[in-house]
Amino acid sequence: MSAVPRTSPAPTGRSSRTGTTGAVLHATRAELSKILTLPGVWIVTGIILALDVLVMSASAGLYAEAVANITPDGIIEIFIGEPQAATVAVLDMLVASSLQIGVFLPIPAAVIAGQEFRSHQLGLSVLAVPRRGRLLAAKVLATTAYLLVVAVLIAGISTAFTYAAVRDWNPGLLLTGDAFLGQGRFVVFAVLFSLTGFAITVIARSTLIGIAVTVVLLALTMMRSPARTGPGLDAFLPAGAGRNLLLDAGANHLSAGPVHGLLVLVGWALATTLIAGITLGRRDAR
Amino acid sequence: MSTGKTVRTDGPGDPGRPGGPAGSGRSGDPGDPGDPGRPGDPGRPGDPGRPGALLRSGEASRTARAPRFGDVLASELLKIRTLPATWIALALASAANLALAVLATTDAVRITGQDGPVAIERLGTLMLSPAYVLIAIAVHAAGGEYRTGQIRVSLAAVPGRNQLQAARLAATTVAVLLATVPAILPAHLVRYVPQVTGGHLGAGAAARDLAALLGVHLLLGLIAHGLAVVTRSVVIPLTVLVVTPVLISPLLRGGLPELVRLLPHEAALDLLGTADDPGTSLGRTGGLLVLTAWALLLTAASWTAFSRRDV
Repeated sequence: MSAVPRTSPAPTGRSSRTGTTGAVLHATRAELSKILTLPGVWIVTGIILALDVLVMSASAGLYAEAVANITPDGIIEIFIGEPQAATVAVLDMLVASSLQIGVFLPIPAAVIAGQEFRSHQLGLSVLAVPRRGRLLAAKVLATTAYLLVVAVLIAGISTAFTYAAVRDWNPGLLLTGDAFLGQGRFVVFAVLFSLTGFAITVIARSTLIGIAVTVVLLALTMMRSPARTGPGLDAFLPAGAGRNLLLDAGANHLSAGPVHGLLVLVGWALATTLIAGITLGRRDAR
Repeated sequence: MSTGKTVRTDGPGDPGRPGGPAGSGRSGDPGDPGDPGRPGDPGRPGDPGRPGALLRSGEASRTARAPRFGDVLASELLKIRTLPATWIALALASAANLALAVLATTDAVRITGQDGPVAIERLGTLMLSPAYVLIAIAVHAAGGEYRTGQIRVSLAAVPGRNQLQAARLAATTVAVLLATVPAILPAHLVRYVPQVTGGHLGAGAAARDLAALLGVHLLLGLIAHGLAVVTRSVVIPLTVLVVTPVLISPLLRGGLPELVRLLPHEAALDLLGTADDPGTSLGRTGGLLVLTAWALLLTAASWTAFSRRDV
């Protein structure tokens, strides 16, 4: 942490508000420096982006073939036996390809959060920024900024591969409002879901537990929830909410609408961050 | 590894050992004037009989001698046994195995799949998931020493890296095997006894499945141990081994099925006869070979890394 411990009395009134904002901004900059100088964050981010390229490359041929076989009346068959309107299907695939890699972003978020609890780093951070609320706010802001960039990169990779597939059919499709809206929603999902993983790691004070809980939440959604015990559970899980927010209800079996999905994601991020703030404030800084 | 548990400076009948034939003092004790004499006491002019003075040359040779493999192995096993993570992992894996076995046997819960509700018993990845909790024993045994620099203490106690690595590997193997039996046996009995007694399955097939499950746990444990040594971490091996089957394999299965079926988790499912996709399954023998190859590869890599890398 590069933030300096306060040695002067706390300011009052307007200058106090300015001081608080300034202190949070300074602390955020310091947290961002910390994130950007962590080798583990770069390695994990690199692996995720490389995996994105690998997965997109592996399916590019099949996807291009499906686009090449779009019928004159605009029907595509990406999955055998499932004909769909080409425009809707391509945009859905664009967002889905971002989503399938976006679910990995809680891992770098957990790495960012977990490094604080290694080698008593938290004690030094609290020494530099004694107000733990400010410290957590700075951490959340810095992590959000970093994850925002990575999410935009993922959206860019899926856009590039999708463009390579559709450029001979409808090159302007990816520049439409629907395409930007879809990718924008993906970025919102990626940041909110990652912040949930970040907050869980702070609560558990362990990178491993943060990642494990995130994987369990994802696995529950991937298994589509226990059919007999709670068919509605999926709609309240973060990954399920992400599907509801991003995917087309006509082509996918969704458990709720996009607004519900957004509210659930915001709820998870807010609730876990609030608990993280409480635990950070009440427990010993070790 | 604890220093005091592995460096043997005394042997049977050592005069410096409490209760030994020559007394109870520590070797090298400078002694006080009028001291009746402790073993290993360097002695002073005019000091009467010091039994230790006669033993110094032999004792020095014993102190310099490399620790025996059996002692190093015993201390590694002691270390694993005293790690809280070992018992937590064992308890969680046993409970999870038993709960899944009860659910599978009673068919109380089904999971919604693409083709409708699926019995838990048919979901190989879910049924194998407790194994990834149990292999935390191997990961913590191998990777835990790097967190606080404990590995330096271990190497100070046992400077021979090949000997130490051999002992660590053997101890992990024994610990994983010993932990696997109570973790899987009750669940196995819950699942298979009704089938065998009901005549739906032969005792030989039940025993074969038990052996396969034991083998899967052992080989996954060795893979985890190797990854932990190579990455010098507890978090990375568990993350890689858990995230790969849950998140990465489903992504790659569509475009690269030939690659995915060679991954450890998929090979483990093949060995157990519960492959997600029977169309790309390697069969039990193929699964065993692939999983063994992974275990050998990671063991060799970890041995090389441990022998040559700075600590």
